[in-house]
Amino acid sequence: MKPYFGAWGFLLSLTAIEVALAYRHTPPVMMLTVLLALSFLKAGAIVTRFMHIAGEGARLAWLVLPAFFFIGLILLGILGDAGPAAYGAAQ
Amino acid sequence: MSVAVGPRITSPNKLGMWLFLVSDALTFTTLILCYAFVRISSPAWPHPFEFAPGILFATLMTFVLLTSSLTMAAGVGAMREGRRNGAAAWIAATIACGALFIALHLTEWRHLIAMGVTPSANPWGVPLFGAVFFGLTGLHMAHVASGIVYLAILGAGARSGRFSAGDVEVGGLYWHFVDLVWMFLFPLLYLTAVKP
Repeated sequence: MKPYFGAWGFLLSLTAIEVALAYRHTPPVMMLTVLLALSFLKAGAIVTRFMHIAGEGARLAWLVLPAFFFIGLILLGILGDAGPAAYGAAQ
Repeated sequence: MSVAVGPRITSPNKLGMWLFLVSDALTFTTLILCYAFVRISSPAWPHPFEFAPGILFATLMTFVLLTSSLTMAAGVGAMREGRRNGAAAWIAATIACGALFIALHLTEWRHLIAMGVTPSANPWGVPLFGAVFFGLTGLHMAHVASGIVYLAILGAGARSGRFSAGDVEVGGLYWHFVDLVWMFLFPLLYLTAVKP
């Protein structure tokens, strides 16, 4: 149980940092970058510490991860069109 | 009797769950990307969440969900050691955490609804805010609710001997994943919309 408590404490402290960050006057882009970085760190901690993906061997990781590469491609495809102009066009 | 047909990636049950979780993660990722698109495109996204109840509740919900992952891991551990009653008790604790999460979330929803926020309208004139908020949190809450039903069946079966330690572990994967999704929703929906 000890490693799980460690992961739990780690995730809670990252959450505390996130909440504290929201109450500091951080520029939006900077804040979003840090929040996303912390979120991915937390997701990584859950997948490795609680879901034990490393124990499943590399082949499972290869099965899981490529899908997110394609999501990245979609992101590149649509976010270029986002912006105040897109909102105006929808009006 | 099981016949070994070539090397397996992992147990079939676990592989099935991982594949489901990948597809589910893609669903959430797509919705979060839609949110990003809408938010970047909106000139004035509302910042309605005051410290209490909004942020306080959401932080508490994060604490509850993280704790539920801990109790779930304890349940899987107990099952591996053959302690069936212990496993069932830990799974029950996980269910209690999930129920508390939903109760806190619904309280938070009711607060927003009382402020006039619906999926199609809100006092700030950005109707998509409600659509995004209720859409994303609603889908996540549906996952927590179905997780509770899944764990209830799993807990009863673990106790009676119908389910193995492997089955409980597969249920644990689902539960941890629901926890993982919230790790993105909490900062992206709440912490970037804190009332100044």
